[in-house]
Amino acid sequence: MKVLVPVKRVVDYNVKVRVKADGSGVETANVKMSMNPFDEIAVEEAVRLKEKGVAEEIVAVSCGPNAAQEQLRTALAMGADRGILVEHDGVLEPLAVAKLLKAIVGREGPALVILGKQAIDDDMSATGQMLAALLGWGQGTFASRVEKEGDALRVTREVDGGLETVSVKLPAIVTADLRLNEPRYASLPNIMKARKKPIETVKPADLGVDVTPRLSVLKVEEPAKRQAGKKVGSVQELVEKLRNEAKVI
Amino acid sequence: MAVLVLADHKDGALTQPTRSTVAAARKLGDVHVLVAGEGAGAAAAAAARLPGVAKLLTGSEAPALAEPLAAQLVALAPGYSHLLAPASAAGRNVMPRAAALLDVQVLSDVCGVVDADTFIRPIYAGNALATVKSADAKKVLTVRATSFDPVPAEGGNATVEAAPAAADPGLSSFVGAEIVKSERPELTAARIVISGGRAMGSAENFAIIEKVADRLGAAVGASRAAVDAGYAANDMQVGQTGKIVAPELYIAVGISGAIQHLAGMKDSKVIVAINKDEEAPIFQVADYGLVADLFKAVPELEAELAK
Amino acid sequence: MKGDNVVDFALTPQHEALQEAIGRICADFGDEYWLMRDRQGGFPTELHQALAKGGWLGVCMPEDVGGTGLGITEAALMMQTIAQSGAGMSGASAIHMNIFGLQPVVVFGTEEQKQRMLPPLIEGRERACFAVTEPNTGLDTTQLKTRAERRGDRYVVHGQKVWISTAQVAEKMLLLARTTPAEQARKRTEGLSLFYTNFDRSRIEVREIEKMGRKAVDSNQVFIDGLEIPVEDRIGEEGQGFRYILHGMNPERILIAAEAAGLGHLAVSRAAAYAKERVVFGRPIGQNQAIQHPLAECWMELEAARLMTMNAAWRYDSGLECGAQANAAKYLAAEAGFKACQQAVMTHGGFGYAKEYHVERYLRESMIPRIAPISPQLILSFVAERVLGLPKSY
Repeated sequence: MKVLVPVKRVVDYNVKVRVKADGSGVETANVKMSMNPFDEIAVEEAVRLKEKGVAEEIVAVSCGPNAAQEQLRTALAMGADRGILVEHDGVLEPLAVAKLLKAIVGREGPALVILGKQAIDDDMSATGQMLAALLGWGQGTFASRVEKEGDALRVTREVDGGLETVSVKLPAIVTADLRLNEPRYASLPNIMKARKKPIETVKPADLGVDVTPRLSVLKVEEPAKRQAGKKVGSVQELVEKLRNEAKVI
Repeated sequence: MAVLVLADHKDGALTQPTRSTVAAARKLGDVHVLVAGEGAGAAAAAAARLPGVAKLLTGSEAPALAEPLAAQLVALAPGYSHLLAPASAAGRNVMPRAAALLDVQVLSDVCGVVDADTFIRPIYAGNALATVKSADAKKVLTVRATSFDPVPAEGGNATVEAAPAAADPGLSSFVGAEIVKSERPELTAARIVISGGRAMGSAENFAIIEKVADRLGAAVGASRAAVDAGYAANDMQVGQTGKIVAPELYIAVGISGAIQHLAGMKDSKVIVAINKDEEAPIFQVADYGLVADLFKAVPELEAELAK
Repeated sequence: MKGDNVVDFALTPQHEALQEAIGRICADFGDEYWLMRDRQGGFPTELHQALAKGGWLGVCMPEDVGGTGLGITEAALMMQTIAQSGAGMSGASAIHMNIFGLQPVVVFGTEEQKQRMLPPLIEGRERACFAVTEPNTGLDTTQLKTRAERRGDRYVVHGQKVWISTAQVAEKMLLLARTTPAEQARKRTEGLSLFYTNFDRSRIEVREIEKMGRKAVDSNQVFIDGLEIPVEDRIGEEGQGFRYILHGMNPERILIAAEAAGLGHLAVSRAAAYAKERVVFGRPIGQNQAIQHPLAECWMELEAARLMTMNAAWRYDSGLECGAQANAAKYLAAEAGFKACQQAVMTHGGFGYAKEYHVERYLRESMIPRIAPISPQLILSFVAERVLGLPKSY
């Protein structure tokens, strides 16, 4: 089967983001950008499925600026076969991305779409579920284990307090959680091969998708700074403060 | 127009995040609650008693799956201006699906309600807060429970009715669950972390910290000094050279607060320091400091938490 | 951009991808790992294997033997990234020899030799040491004394070598030895032959030299007594070894320059981070110009050295003469790296002297690129003679 893996270009997880002074967003100029870490796990899972002979072809897709080609190259270096860039410079919300991906699915006909459970920039955790809805496919979100069983996937999911297993009919959407696998490091020969793999570029208009944002950002601010610390006199007082003032236990 | 809350429940009881979500929903209109899934009957009875809940809808008692549940929410949606759920694994699974079916951009992890169209939510792992206004006619959101004080468990008397059944699209089926997990959470993912330093004195003494950790569902960490001294395993190390953590609560026990260590935990939401040296630098970053002998204070803490 | 012949200093997306990828591997080997290696010694096998697994040891080996066929530019970027990751010379030296050292085999070896010798090195199954320098000849390489006498289908070798890195762990050795007595050779530069052969420990004694830094990567005295080398392990023609070995010298200078620049940048960034956080007299020490100016100066000198290094690498990869640039790069980067490490220790004050702050380790390691593989004085003499046309002084 063919597997589609959407990947997102985000501020690298090691970067401590700074809010812009005018409150319009966070500073992204001259900041290191990388593939969303959860998407890397998704790519790894797809590559493992290919190595097991379950997947035949892996197509990586990124919706974003031209520079997102770098993240596609990373996916290609990890083992994806070719890339598609849906080039758009403005804001793309998960609903718009899901619509773009739906159009790509329509052209490519994959049996499985694996993507990260969440992007570490907007933390929306929505694209996979939205794509599943638009396609009318089943979804196995927050996956920690994926196995193919006949014409279905057995997906073990990270849920509150433990694990849950569902069987999802193919074609399906899977979103990758942290424990699904540990992504490989791209090897030097594969990085070199990736430079030669094809990347096709399309525009949202080519796909007939309106990507107008539904949300407008009124302001972005830093969370409240920690208050100056105080000393407590006893363990009882400490627990009382943690329960009733800080409300963390 | 009323607002609809999809409840989370476990073992026939509503979760606290559900009550927090009801609190958020009350800022937006009359609250109706939908309870569905295994054990929904008992949970529905509890939900009907929540103050401010006008109507209670009961759905299927089959194990909750995203596809039929989203279909049910979509069927109910015409009667509501807002659809809310806790930002739990369950809520985050179903709400974006329902939103897409309604052609609405979901708002995840909302931590503040400004008005009916405007909400505050964390981005970049909480390093920034965005205030966003939705242009969608209907809003679908998940709610960060810790940002809203939960409504009391009792005090309301909602009418109860069965939600009209929605067709199960039959896309997935429930196989099983393993919910009981006694292992402690992973250090970098834990909501609470308690760490010990060189003052712990031995590997055996970490047991007193572990007891508190089990009480709080916390992960156990260690300073580099403790790791170097052989009191704790290297993968427990919190600090610049170890793991970087940012839990909601970080308890530093017998840790002086070297730069190395602070770099690994200074973004924690609430920091507690227990140290007998009142000049220890850890107190400069701690929200709550307790100057005490850890061998006395930590067992006391465990006892107090047990109350 | 303006002008017709634009000089482009930007890294290509491919270069950035390489740096990113190698940086991720190195990130698994943190400060504690290198502190431990420095304390206890022991070859950093884990890093060597991780790099081998990723195909990095074959960065400039030909593709038909399993390499990637890239240039010294890419190898230099890689070595700088490794040193700068925190691995310093301990990490860089562990693979340095494997990256460029077998260039003579690549260029002058037979097809059979290449297929036999290079893949095990690239795959990390074998490690090679570079046995050239001797105790009594120093940098006067043409005067090497170690003898290899031809007996039928083999050579028998006697002699000693010194400052042979990784001889404790190497499976293979690239050996330069005399096959024609100096007085019988037609030219000073002839009479030496090059071999790539098994490091037969039954005929070779290795004594580790205790040294100032880089304990992880051993340096040794090597005593060779009756080592037998089959003729098929001789690279190229008999008597032409010196010419072959010269082939690898400019790339080696370029790589060591890149390593020194990486080490220096590592020291400066650690010092800057410390200066930002360390508060004395109610303000971060980094607010004082006496702290910030020397660090700024170090950064500028390191960047200048790095650009000279990339210039030399570009010339080498473009087939241009690069001796002056390669030597200049090694000189500038080594001095700038040393100065940066020294400044990093001073920035840390007393803590700079403590091992757990790592910068004292960098300072000890920063002496290596100053001394090896050629002294700064000989570089000055080389530039004076070959670039400025001044009379030879030695």
